[in-house]
Amino acid sequence: MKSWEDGVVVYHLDSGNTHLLNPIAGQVLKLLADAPADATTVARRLAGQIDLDSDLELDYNVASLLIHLDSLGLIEPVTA
Amino acid sequence: MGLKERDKTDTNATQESRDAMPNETESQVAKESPNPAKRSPDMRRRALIAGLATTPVLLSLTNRSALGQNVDCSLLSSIILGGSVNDLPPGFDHKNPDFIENYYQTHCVEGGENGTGNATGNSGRSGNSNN
Amino acid sequence: MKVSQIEAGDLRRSLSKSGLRIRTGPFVCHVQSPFQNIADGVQLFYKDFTCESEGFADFHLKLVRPANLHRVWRPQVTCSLNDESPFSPLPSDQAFAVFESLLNWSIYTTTYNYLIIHGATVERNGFAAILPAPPGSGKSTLCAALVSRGWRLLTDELTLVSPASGLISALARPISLKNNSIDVLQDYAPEEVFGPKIYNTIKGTIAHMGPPSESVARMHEAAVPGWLIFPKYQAGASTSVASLPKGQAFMRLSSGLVNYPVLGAQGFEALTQLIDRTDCFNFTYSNLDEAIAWFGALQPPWRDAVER
Repeated sequence: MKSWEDGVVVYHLDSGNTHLLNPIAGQVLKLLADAPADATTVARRLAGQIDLDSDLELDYNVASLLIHLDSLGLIEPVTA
Repeated sequence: MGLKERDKTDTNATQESRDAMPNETESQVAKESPNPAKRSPDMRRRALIAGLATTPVLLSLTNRSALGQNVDCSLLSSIILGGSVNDLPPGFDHKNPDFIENYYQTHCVEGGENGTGNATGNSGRSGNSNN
Repeated sequence: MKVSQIEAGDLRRSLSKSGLRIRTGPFVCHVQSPFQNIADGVQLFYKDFTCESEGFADFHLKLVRPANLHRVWRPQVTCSLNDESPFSPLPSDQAFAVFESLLNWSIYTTTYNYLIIHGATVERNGFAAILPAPPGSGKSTLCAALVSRGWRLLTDELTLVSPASGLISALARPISLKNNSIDVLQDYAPEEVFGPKIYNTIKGTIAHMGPPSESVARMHEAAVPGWLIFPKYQAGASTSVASLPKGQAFMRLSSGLVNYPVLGAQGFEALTQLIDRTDCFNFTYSNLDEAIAWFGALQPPWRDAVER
């Protein structure tokens, strides 16, 4: 994974596919690479990076993004 | 150049959601206040939500090449020794025995003929476990 | 020994019989061929290259007459790489062009320890400008013009990036010009060495421009990547430049790489390092003098870092 000003490029080992993600999706991916987390936790961390509080709308949007990233095979659910 | 048919690596780049680039909203916010740190909380929140709501993938390079497959080295060696190419995973469509052997030598043998020494590359990266 | 040290008749005999082993960058190419036009091309364009009559070779190229009627009637050349024939037979007057294509094909298809970019690379003051481009973009024309104005030629066709060091290896082989660009370059740089025009190839008319002796002498000097410039020739267009964001530059470059899928994660890492180290641009031009001037004014990408 590599970040630049216009996005994050990521190489998916299993498929050999390469993606350029928008900066925010890339930031979510990096947060999850640091530590697995649920949507609420990711939303809180994202918001915290820009001095905001999280809320239900952010939680919802993060959850939608996570579903999309999962469908690409870039993330996967972990069991507790 | 009168090229005969030959298996070639093949990649396919796709472009997604250019119409929904988050930069549109972010650039609008930037016009109002060029310094992100000085934007109001509401602007920062709007930009964040816009970024989350947009399709995350701007561009993709889909690897359709068999050479991009992380093929298990033990599977390759069994094919070289007489196994069936039908055991190869979907997409690994290089049925040429010489190719398979060259690929094995390059990626599965330490100090392979191209000098990559990439003995652990496949098994280390692929996660293709037979467990 | 250099090719120039071999007398013409001996050169042709060597090529016809046991062949000649020519070193180009990190590779040794063993070529065997009875064709006079190949011997002429080797003597003209590879005169400064070192060669041996025996020893190890990375590629074994044979360009010979087919064993059928086309040996004498509408004579053809058939070629093989390591005893496999990747191309159909072609008219024998195209033999030298076939040799160049076959050598490109050899590197493309058998080299896994470099990231291979389809594009030209030139170097000045220690930094390399990589010009990745599909056919028809004008990259060879631009490359030839830059070389004629003092840039070191690393390669016209295949840019080899070491995944380990990030440096670019030089091949310093002849530059292939097509159709109108042949006359353009012969007018622009009449002092350069040009070979005969080769007609009716699949790409039209081809001619080669020889590599400068200094570029060949420095063949073993790898270059530090400085700029990634996507050229586009557009007739009548004014010179225009646009900075290319690095994420987009990465995706554009990776989609055109020959062996990116083969190298996998290693290729990904090598490419990210390359993009990190370079300033990236889209470059549209029609006037060679303006293009040369713009390249001449390029600042090293590390200039700001060094000055801090």
